Formats: sequence, C-alpha cells, structure tokens
Amino acid sequence: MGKVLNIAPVSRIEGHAKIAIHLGDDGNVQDAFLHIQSLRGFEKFIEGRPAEEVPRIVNRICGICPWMHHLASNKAVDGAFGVTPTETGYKLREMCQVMAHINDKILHFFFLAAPDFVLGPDADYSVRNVIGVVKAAPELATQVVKMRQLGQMMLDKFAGKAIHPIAGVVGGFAKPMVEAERQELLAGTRTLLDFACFALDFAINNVFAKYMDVIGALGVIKTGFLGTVDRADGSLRLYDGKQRMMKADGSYVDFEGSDYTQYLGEHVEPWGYSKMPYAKFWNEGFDMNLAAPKGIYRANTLARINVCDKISTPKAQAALEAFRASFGRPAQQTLLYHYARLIELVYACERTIELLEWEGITDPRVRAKVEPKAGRGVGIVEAPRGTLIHDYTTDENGCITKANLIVGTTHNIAPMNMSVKQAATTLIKNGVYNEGLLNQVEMAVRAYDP
Amino acid sequence: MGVTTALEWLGSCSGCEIAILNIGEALIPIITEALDIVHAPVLMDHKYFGQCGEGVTLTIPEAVVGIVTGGVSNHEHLEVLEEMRKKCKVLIALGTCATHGGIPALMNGQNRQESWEGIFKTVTTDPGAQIPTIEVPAPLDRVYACDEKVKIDMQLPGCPPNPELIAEVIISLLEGRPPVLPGKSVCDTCPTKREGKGEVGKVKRFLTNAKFTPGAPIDEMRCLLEQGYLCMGPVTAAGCAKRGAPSCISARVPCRGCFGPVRKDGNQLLDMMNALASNGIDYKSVVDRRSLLRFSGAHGQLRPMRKQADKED
Amino acid sequence: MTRSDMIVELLEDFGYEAERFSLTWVSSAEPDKFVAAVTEMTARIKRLGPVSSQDASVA
Repeated sequence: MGKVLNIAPVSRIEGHAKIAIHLGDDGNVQDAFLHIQSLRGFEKFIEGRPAEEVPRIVNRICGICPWMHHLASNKAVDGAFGVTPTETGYKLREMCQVMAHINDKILHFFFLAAPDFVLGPDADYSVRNVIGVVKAAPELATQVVKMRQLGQMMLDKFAGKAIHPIAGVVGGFAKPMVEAERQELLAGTRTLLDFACFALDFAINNVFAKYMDVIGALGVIKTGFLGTVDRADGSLRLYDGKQRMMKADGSYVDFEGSDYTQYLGEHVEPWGYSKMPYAKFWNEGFDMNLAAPKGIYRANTLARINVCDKISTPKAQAALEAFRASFGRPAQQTLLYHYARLIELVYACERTIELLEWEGITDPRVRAKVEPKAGRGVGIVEAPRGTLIHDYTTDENGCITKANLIVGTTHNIAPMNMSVKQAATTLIKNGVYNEGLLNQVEMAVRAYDP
Repeated sequence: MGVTTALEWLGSCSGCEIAILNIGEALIPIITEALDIVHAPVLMDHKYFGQCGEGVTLTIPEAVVGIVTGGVSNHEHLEVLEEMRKKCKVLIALGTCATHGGIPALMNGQNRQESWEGIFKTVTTDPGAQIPTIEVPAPLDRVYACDEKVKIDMQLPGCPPNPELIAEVIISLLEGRPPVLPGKSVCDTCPTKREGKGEVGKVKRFLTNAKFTPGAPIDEMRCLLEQGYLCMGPVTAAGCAKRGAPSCISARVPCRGCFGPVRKDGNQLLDMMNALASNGIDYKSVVDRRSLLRFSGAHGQLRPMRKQADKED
Repeated sequence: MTRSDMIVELLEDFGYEAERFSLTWVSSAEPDKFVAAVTEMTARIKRLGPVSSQDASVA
C-alpha cells in the first residue's frame, strides 16, 4: 500500500508550505509536491486606494524583504504618475534597498541555512537550528547576531523603520541624508563589508568544501535563469536595470521590464496557492518534467550571478571569477544558491559604500514634484528571492484601478517542486527513509530561501 | 532548563519574527537559556505530523508560553491556533495582524470570493485558471483577529511590534510581574511642535514632503496634522516610539495607525472622523476613508460596501 | 446638517445601508407628520431586513 509523507510545516523558510512525498507500493517515490499554503490577495485589496498610499501597504507582503515591495511599488507609482525621482531620491532608495539585501543575506545564511551545514543535516532536530549553532560556535554566533543587528539598526535609524518601511515616497525619498548620518552609515557599512568577506571565506572553507558531493547531487535540476543587469555594461544590479532571461545553454535575451507581459506567463496548479511564472516567450509551454522541463527558469541569487556579465565592485568581482572558475556559467547546482548569496552579500556592502561616497547623497533635493493622474507604471527591483514586479494602473484621481504583482519567490515555485522531486527520488528508495533524509529534501527547498 | 515556548505564525508576513530578532544580542541568552523553544517553524524543525510526516493529526507540543503572529483567514490557521490554545498555558497574540487583523484584513472590505476569482485572472495568469482547492487550506469567510476565535492572555500589537516591548513582555512573564507598556496614543509619545490646528481646513495627500530642517532634532518639526497631512497619531495606540519619537514621524512621514486603536475596541475610522470634525477639518477631504481601518479590519469593523445596485430599490 | 451627512457616509463605509438613518424635524403641533415619519421608517426597515452578520465575536 503506497503512502504519503506530509512534511509540514517546511521549516526555516519565510513562508507557509508543506512537502508531500507520495510513495508507491515498492517504497519508491512516485511523486513529490511543494504545496504553498497561503494566499492573502494584495493584488485586489489595493484597488481603489490612492496610489501614493500603496507602497506602505504592500510592504506588508513580506516582513523580511519589505523594502523590495516598498520600492518596486514606489517605482510603479512613479511610472503611473509620470514622475522621475530626483537623482538623490533615486540613490537614497537604492542605498536602502542594497542595505536591506545585506541584512537579509546574513539572516538567511546564518540563521536559517547554516544549522544544516554547521551541525549536519542528520543532527537531531532539537539542536539543528540557530540555537544549536549558538551553543556549538558561540563566538561566531555572537558576531553574526551583532552584524545583523548593526545592519538593521543603521537602516532603522536613518529611515525610521527597517521593517515595513515608509521612507520611500512617490517622486523620491521622504527626507534627505545629512553629513553626520552619512559618516555613521559609512563606518557601519565598512564593518559589514569586512564581515561579508569573512562570511564568504568561512563558507568556502568550512561549508562548501565539506559538502561538495551534496552540492553536486542534492536537488540539482536544469533550468533557465532570470535576473536584472545594468543597462550600460551588463553588470549585476539589484535596484534597477534591464531584465535578462538566460536559457540553460547560456544564450540569453534582454528585455525592458515594462514589457514583461510579453515574456512571462503565470501557470496555476490546483494544488498550491502560489502561481508559477514561466517563460511564455520561449513558446514551449510549461512542464516540470525533470528530464525535459519546458518554460522553467529560476530567479534569486544563483540566477543573478549566472546572468550578469560581471560585478562592478572589486571584491565581489574577484569572488565571482573564482566561482565561475569552479562551476562555470550558468551553474545549475541548487545548493550553490548559498555560495551566490554570499557573493551578493559582498557586492551589497561594496555598492552601499559606493552610494554613500557619492558627493550628491546629502543633497536636500530628494523628492520631485508629484501630480496624481491616470496612467500605468511597472516597477521592478531584484528582491533577495528574485525579480519583483509591481504593475499598477491608476485613474484620474491617482487611485489604483488594477494591479498585477509577480513576487520574486514565485519564479522559483516550479523549480522548487522539481528540486523536491529530484531530491526525494534520489534519497528515498525501497521504503527506506528517516528524519535526516527528509531534512535533506527540505534543504533542497531552503537553498532557494523562499 | 528554560521555560518551554512555542511560536507559531498564521496569516503572517514574518515581520513580527524579524522584530523578535531585532531585540539583538539580548536575545541570545533569552533563546538559549531563559526559554526552551519546543516548536517554531521559522527557526527550528519540529513538525506537525511527526518528524517523518506519517501522522494524521496536527500536533504541537505543550509549552508554558505560546506566541502567535498573524491573523486567522483559513482553516489551517484556525486549527493551528486552537492547538496552540490547547497546549500553551499563556498565549500571547503578537503583532497587529494577530490583535486586530492587520493589513490582510483589508480583504474584509471586499467580496472575498470575487476578489479571489480576480486574482486568478490577472493579465499574466494563464487563461482558464481556477482557484486551487487541493492540499491547500480552505479560506474562512473573512479575516479574524486571534481573540475572535480563542481566548488570548496578552496582546502586543504593532506592525511590526517594538522589539523592546517584546523583550519586556517576555522578561516580565519570566519574572512573574505585569509588563510595563506605554499607554494612550501615538501623540503622547510624539515630541513635534504643536501650535494649534486652527488654520487647517482640509487634509492633503502625502504628495509633498513635510516642512522641516534636515538634520534638526524632531522636536523642531511642526506636528504633521497641523501641517495639513492626515496623521493617525491621535487614534493609534502608543508603542512604536524608538529613539524619542514615533517611528514614522522620525522619518518625517505621517502615521497610518499600525498599532491599532488606542482602546482595544476602538474604531480608528470613527475616532479619526471625530478628531477631524472636532478640529473643524472637512472630513470629505480624506480620500479613501475606509483605509483608516487598514490595520484594524477584523472584529467586524471592515465590511464590504453595498453595491450601488442594492440601493436603487 | 454636516454631522448627519457624515453619519450617513460612515454607515455606508461600514457596510450598512444609508436608509437605516434618517433625520426628520417634527414639532409637537404636527402629529400627522410624526406618525407618517415613524410609519415610513418602520416600513423601510422591514424592507431592508436585519443587518447581516459580519459582527465581531469574542471567544
């Protein structure tokens, strides 16, 4: 008699999901699913709201990446109202966005992912968590907590709120930066950059080296990749740029984000609330078949590292070169998401410093003139989890009539399903399974930081 | 060994969990010594149906302290909340979603069925898509606050809640004393200059930045309501102030009420209309009045509006 | 009059029909007017029926 293993809830992720593994009579995996359990309906209940209020409503889509929704939303409202932010307003927004990436990546790698690597995937579940990491490596853990807190408090103090921000406004930013703030932020970010370089080194020597065989096998699938690159030189950009969709063979197409509806479709399955974006313009349809996937691409750190031609900041560029020497371009192994995440961490620190060192960052002209009007705007940023798209249409009062959101993590829902199936099928044979093996299946999901 | 603690999240965004982490270094002894965390999906791997997923009944271990975030909008949230109530001696509702419905309760102002159908018909959604129903929890008729479904022992609102207050609540519980929480409204914690609301006849949308000197202390800026912006400070519970000023005000941005009403059963829309009327401010100048309930739409406060057709009788 | 305009609009905000509220001026020398007003309102409310339940419950 076949049976279903319900791994619920999937833990150490930033959402609500369960994994169902269907075993046949022979004890082998027939199918496996990642069922996304929540749906709140933001696309609908922002209808009718004055557009300039929406960035402080949609930030609540996510408490870990609220800056991403906040800024994509502000960009969409700018577009609908036909406003171009001032240069300082633009750069203050970018600074907050990359700083938020710093905190997010420290959180994910050390608090959520690291327990599997520091304590081992088969460690007892009662210690296989951040508390266990604190007990096993107290100095490292204290340093990690301090660094994350430093980053969070810098953002909180400058922008009023780090969680569920309000300082981005249509037309730019709510307040200018003054010199004293800039000096404080620079000092803090330099400390964070040192920590980022340490974290990457630590991971390369103590984690990736030890787990190379797992990296090579766990949850490995073959897909395309979607990210954002700088319009001028194709380098990694998190805040703004053109979209690049790469196929598994490395060939790619660049497009303007405002044309996204011509490139992306959203597939729906009856067994999960989240929609699954796919590359409609490849004209192959949608299929999660592991041997011959169709329309499937991934977003998030590994994708961005793959699609960019280079990174414009020196330490991160050096790290990228070392990564590509080992794994090529595009790299497909799912656990490399963790490696890519730490390369991006270094970039985010370097980019923040670049922006703080720009002479115009303390200019008081932070907000352009705004007149509400009817229009349509598409605002896109790279959230830690993937390309985030907010698409708003407004009426002549500047209120939202229609909205479409493609949330960064959803690009990876289909790929996560594929990785879960791959991992479960590889690890569970002839009815032999245990808690450690099932945790490894979850690790294939955790790499995507969903 | 520490006090057993379980943490759950319902219709949440994980902002409250990040707020807990923002307690900072002081959190380390709390989670490693003072508390013994037995269930917390965000941080550790205890599972509902047994560690190998073979069980059939959703089970959470017993704990002295239970903390729940997020509102109740589907049957799984309800099941988890009821199990938390059953297994935890002291149950704390953390965050405005849990205490008042929060932003997701904005859905209470629409027809839920129609809205969900609309979500699966957006411009990029494949045509013919249906609302998923397999292996996903069915929705309830609306979004509820936790205390509408189970008895809650302590409520700590905020979107997000203030990390200092979270720490105070946990520590006061461990020390067996009542917590020291700020009372009254956001205005009571706001140091801006008040010179009288006389000249303001209408409120304006936040389309221009407030008037202030960059870098000057916050108490040199004039009250945002007096500057003519809609600021919900007078009708919002205090608690967000850090570094001497309410969080949004410190960024020179008006308050939108994210800690919920001043009194537990207050109505932020009604209270704000009263406040405006008492100051001679034209209530009609508020665009989208109903979004004054954007954080407190549970408890039956936010309901779908009647369509025009119903009125022509 | 401004306050009663506000009451009507707020009732609609909360999902109630505006017709459930009415403000009529009647003097003690106008009994017919009073009777008519009450009769009309009673009929109106009966037609509208009970308020649907989306009320807060307390567990």
